[in-house]
Parts: sequence; structure tokens; C-alpha cells
Amino acid sequence: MRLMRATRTGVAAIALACGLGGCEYSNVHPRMMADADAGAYGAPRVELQSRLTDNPSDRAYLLDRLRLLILTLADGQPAQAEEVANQTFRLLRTQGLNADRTTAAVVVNEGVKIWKGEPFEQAMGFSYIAVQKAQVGQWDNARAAANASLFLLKSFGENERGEEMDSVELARRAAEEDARRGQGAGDRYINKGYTPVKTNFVLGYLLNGLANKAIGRADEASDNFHEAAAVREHLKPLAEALDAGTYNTVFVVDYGRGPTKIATGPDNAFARYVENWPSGAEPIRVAVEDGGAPLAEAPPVQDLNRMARSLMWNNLEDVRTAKSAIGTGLLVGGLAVAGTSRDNEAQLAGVGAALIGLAMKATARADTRHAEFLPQRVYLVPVNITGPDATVTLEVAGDSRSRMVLTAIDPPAAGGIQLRYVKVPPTGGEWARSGRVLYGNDEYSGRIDGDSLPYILGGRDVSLPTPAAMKRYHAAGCLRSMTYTELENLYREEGIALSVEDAKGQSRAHVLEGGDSLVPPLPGTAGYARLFGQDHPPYRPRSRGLQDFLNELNETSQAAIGRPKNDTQGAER
Amino acid sequence: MKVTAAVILFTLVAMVGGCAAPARSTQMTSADLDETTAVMAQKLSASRLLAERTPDSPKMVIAIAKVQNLTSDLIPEGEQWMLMEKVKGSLPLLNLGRERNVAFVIPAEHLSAAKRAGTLPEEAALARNPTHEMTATFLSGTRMAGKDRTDAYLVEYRITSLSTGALEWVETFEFKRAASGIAYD
Repeated sequence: MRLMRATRTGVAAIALACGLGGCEYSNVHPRMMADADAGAYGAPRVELQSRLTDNPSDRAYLLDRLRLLILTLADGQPAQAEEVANQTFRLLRTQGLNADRTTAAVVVNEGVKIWKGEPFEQAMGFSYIAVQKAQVGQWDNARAAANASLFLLKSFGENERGEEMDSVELARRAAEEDARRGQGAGDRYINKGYTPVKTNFVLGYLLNGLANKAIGRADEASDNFHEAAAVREHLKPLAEALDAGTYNTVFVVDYGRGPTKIATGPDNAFARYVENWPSGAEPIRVAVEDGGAPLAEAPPVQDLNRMARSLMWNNLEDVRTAKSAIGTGLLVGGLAVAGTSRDNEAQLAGVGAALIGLAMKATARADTRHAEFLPQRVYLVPVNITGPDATVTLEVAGDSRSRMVLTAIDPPAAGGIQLRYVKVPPTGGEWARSGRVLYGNDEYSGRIDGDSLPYILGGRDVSLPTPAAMKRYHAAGCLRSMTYTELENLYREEGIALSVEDAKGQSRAHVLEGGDSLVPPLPGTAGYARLFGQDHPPYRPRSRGLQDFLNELNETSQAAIGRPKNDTQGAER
Repeated sequence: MKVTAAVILFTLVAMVGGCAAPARSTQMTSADLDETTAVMAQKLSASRLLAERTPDSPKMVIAIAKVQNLTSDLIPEGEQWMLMEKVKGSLPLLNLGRERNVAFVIPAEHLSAAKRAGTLPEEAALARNPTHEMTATFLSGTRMAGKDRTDAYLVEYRITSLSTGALEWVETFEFKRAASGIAYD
């Protein structure tokens, strides 16, 4: 009877441990990964937005925000990423976020902790915030975020072979310390046996340099560019071009899939990153129509495979080792007591302890939550755009599938420097290379067949309802008795957001892809190329108001829709 | 009985403050920003720049620019404008116009954005003609030692003559934030 009670206690402990520790990890759905790989960022970002928790103490608060931030930027919607970027920054800049959870993490499972990412994921997180700020022209805030990515790292020195130590070697040395100097010496070695060293995060230096240059702080900019070249000597030409070259636009290009975090080693207590995309030094080539570039090709500035491998960019191995050891110790110790004691109570206590030990071993597995949408590498490409609606072509040498033809790029409206983020989709479609603009939009000044009528009314124009857009429709003989305010009301009746404020600052999909936002992506991004570089199915009305309007339109002048100007039978209401 | 006493004693010690949780972030708080704007508004109201003016003084037309952020924190753009508007808004604007011949005009950035968006006509605010500009810069310096971090913030508000470039009013305000905890955790 008592034995059964002890067994029940153990089972309950396992259940409790699973409950607390999250025997399952909240990684993204494979469908979401496939969409992101194909460059179809709209659906996954809307899904991520819908599941965002508002509770900062939720374990997924930060991870889901970082995922959403990356995909929203990839979709060319930096303004929609503003709120999520600010929230991500606030938590990344919070120290000891998991201080109250550390005990639970050691005893039960690291999964109980709020995901804050490995240091390299945090540095990349700050970089994406910098990219978001720079894309909306807030270069001073971009500077703050880039600066935050340049935190000190821990160096445990080199091993006997003169290489940077890895986590297994570090654990072995810690175990040796324990054996030599007694329990606790290993922990002390891990917690204090390192030297704080200046970061080697080149992307952070370059972004910080750019931000400083953009706000007129030339000396600080030069210092940062110089620092980048000091860390990676082969980046000197790029750093010099960024410091003194002639350019007004910089592309930050993510290429390849970042590594995946897996659990490995004894009790699966160690975390290790496995490559999904090989590292390489292939440069990215750039061609600009209506402009030029200080460098015809640029080398990769950041290799995430390398960062993920480096001990300096990782942490928490001590916690994993500690809890694994606790689990093993309890198991062995408990069984020993149960097997040797003649005292029934002691035997039962031993069995209970062993079961709890088993429970802990079962959940000692390393937390494998990670930022899946990080790239394998990052490029920075400065170009000089001299005329409106310029086309820029980017291609990683030796990979024709990486070719991106980016259209409709204007020089910066207010002078200075503008930044564009391009996430090259590993399995992207023909749209990435099409170089076409098939729908009229606010970011493109050229004319498109069918742009004399809004998309929701059967045309190919997705411009915002402004007096200028209305003038164009009227000039083509369409919607002549309709004002732009009436058109705006029609959009509102359809529930279509006309601004980021309308969308309450959230990430929303564009109407061309079945979403409810008319906010155009920034030209020079994968989102713009995908949205406007391929055909989409006709719009399906949602509201009674639009349906009635279309019926009325059809009755009076169905044949006139989209007719050229001077057609007196234009789409009259 | 002894156990109960010990628990009560421990609880009391904790309540008195011995176990107060350390701050976890050195980021600026809204209280810091409120205090900054309140102090600046008070300093500007009491400044010689305004006090010495009369209705007959040459007209002073002040355009405001948003805050420049040189700290280690984000200051969202809306907040950057708000930090200027709050200083301006706390002044007795009507009296300033009547008794000191001072006026504030729409910021150039807002004007050009409104014209681009078509919400203001091209000819709007042609007579804006600012004579002065009010600007502000937020700076910070960071010190770190082990798990501890301190950020010292320095805020500077200025009014500059656009014709001469002379700094006609400048005030600073400082505050500090300290936090403890492992940065990466």
C-alpha cells in the first residue's frame, strides 16, 4: 500500500515536472517554416500576431515577438513591426528576467524560463530592432538598438589545441574542478572563470556605424566601421565604403536558413546547434539601374553557424549540467537507500526519491526553443540610387536561386541614408526574379494596365484612397461621381485598414493576399517583390455595402470598368 | 512556538526592506520622462529669455523639433514629439503671445508630412517664418560591473536663434537608473 503511494508520488512528480518543464517545446509549425522558406511571410506573421501573448511573464512572450519581428520586416512592413520591436527591446534590456525561475529551471527544466535566447540570438534580436528603426527613418533609435547588440562576451580562453573551448570541454573542466576542489568549485569556475571580452559582432558595429553616420556623428561612425574591420580584416573594403563611399541606400540581406537547436549528450542535457545551410564566403553581387554602388560585390558580414558554435555566444550549459547531475544523483542515491535499508519507511522514501530523480532526468533535456527565422548569414550592401523607381538586383555568387530583383526604389525622400531589409527566401518563387510591378500602388509612380480602378472594384490598383488616386481614376473615366472620401468609406466598410494606426499597430496581411490591410510594403524588400511581382486572384467582397456597390456598377456600366480615359461610358455610379 | 516566531521575524525583516527585489532594468521610466518635462517647463517659464520680453519685443516664432535620442534606450518617435509638446503645452501660450510676443508654429516635419499626405495644401503655413528653434537631446552613459548596471541620463533642452545661431536658452536635467541581474538571463 505504502509502496503504491510512493509510486503514485513519483508519477505525480513526473507529471508535475512535465507540466512545469514543458516536455514539449513551442517551436513553430513546419507549415510556417515552409511558408517562410518560400518567402510567403504574410500567413505566418498573421498567425504569429494572433497568438501573441500580452503577458510578459509568459515563456513565449519574447520568442514569438522576435519571430514576428523578423517576418514582418521580411514582408516589408517595418511600421507594422514598431510595437513588437519596442516590446522586444524592453524585455531584452531587462536583466535577470529569469532570476526567480532559475531554481525551478535547475531542478526541473529550463523550459520553465522565459525564452530570452542565447546571446547570439539576443544580439541578432537587437539588430532586427535596429533594422526596423532605420527602415522607418528613426536612426537615433537604430543607434540605441545597434549599440545594445554590442554587449560584452565571456571568454573561457582556449583549449590545449589553441582553439576556443566548446561547451563539452567547459563542462569537463568544471567537473574536474569539482573533483579537485570539492562540490561547487565547478560552478564557481563557470560563473567566474571567464574574462569579459569586447564583442566580435560585426553586424552590430556596422549598423551602429551606419546609424551614427545617418545622424551626422561621423567620428563615432568611423570608430564603429574601423572596429568591424579590426574584427574581420576581409571586411575592410566594405567598412571603408560604408564610412566614406557614395551611397544613399543600404540593403541588409539575410541569406540561408540559420542553425537548429537540438538536445544532445548525456540525458540530452546539452544544447547544440546543427547547420541547415553551409557557411561560405561567397560574396553578394549587386547591380543598380539608375544609380551605382561603391562595391560591385560585398562579402558576408555575419555567419550565424559560426556564432551558434562559439561558446562565447552561448550560455546556460552550467544549468543543464547541474540539473542533469541532480537527477542522476537522486536516482542513484534513492535506489541505493531502497536496496540497502531494512527500514520500510526508509525504503519507501528511497523509492520516492528515485522516482523523483527519474522524473528530473526525464525532463533534464535541454530547452531547444530557438529563433527559427534567423538566417545562416547576413550581407550589407551599399548602393546609390539616383532616380525614382530604380531597380536593384542582388545575387549571392554561385546561387542563381538567390537572385532578387527589387523594383520601384526611390532615393531617400529627405536625403541622407535609407535602409532596406531583404530576406532571401531559400525556396522562393519566380516573383523574386520577375522584376515586375503588376499592381498600381503608392510606392510606384509608373502606370500599370488596369490601375484606373481599385482592386476591390475589379481593377489592379491598391493605392490608398487619396485625392491623387481619385484624380487618376477620374481621368481614366472611372468612378467619376465618387469622391475619395466615399471610396475610403467603402474600404472601411470592408474592414480594410488604410494605415498602421487603423490596424492598431499590428501585423496584418495585404488585401492582395486575402488580408485586410492596404498598407503597401516598402519597395526594396522581399515583401514588395512578392506582393506586386505576381498575379493574385480577384478580390472577393466581404461587406453588403461593397456587394451592393458592385451590383449597381455592373448594372449601369459593367463594360466600362477599366476602360481608357475619354470613354464617356466610364464606370459611373 | 519558536518556529512561528522565526517565521514572523523573517517576514518582518523582508517587509521592512531587507528583501526588496532589485530593479531589473536601467531603462527610462515614464516617471523619469514626466519629471524631465515638468522641470524643463518650469525652467523655461522662469527663464530670462521669456521674462525679459514685452509685447513690443521683436516677434519670436519658435518651431519645435523632436527629441534626439542619444541614449542606450529606445524613445519611440511619438514619445520624442510628446517630450517637446509637453514642455510647450505647459506654458501659458495665450499670455506668451499677448504679453511676450512669442508664438509657436507647426514643426517643419509635420508640415511637410501633411503636405505629402495631401491633408494640407501646398500653400499651407507659408507665413510660418520661425525665428527660433527649440530642440532637445537625451544622452546616456553606461557603467557595468558584474551583474550591476547603472545608466546616467543627461537631458538638454535648447532654444536657438535661427538667424544668428546663438544659443539663447539651454537647460539640463540629470537622473540615474541602476539595475542588477544577469544581462543575458
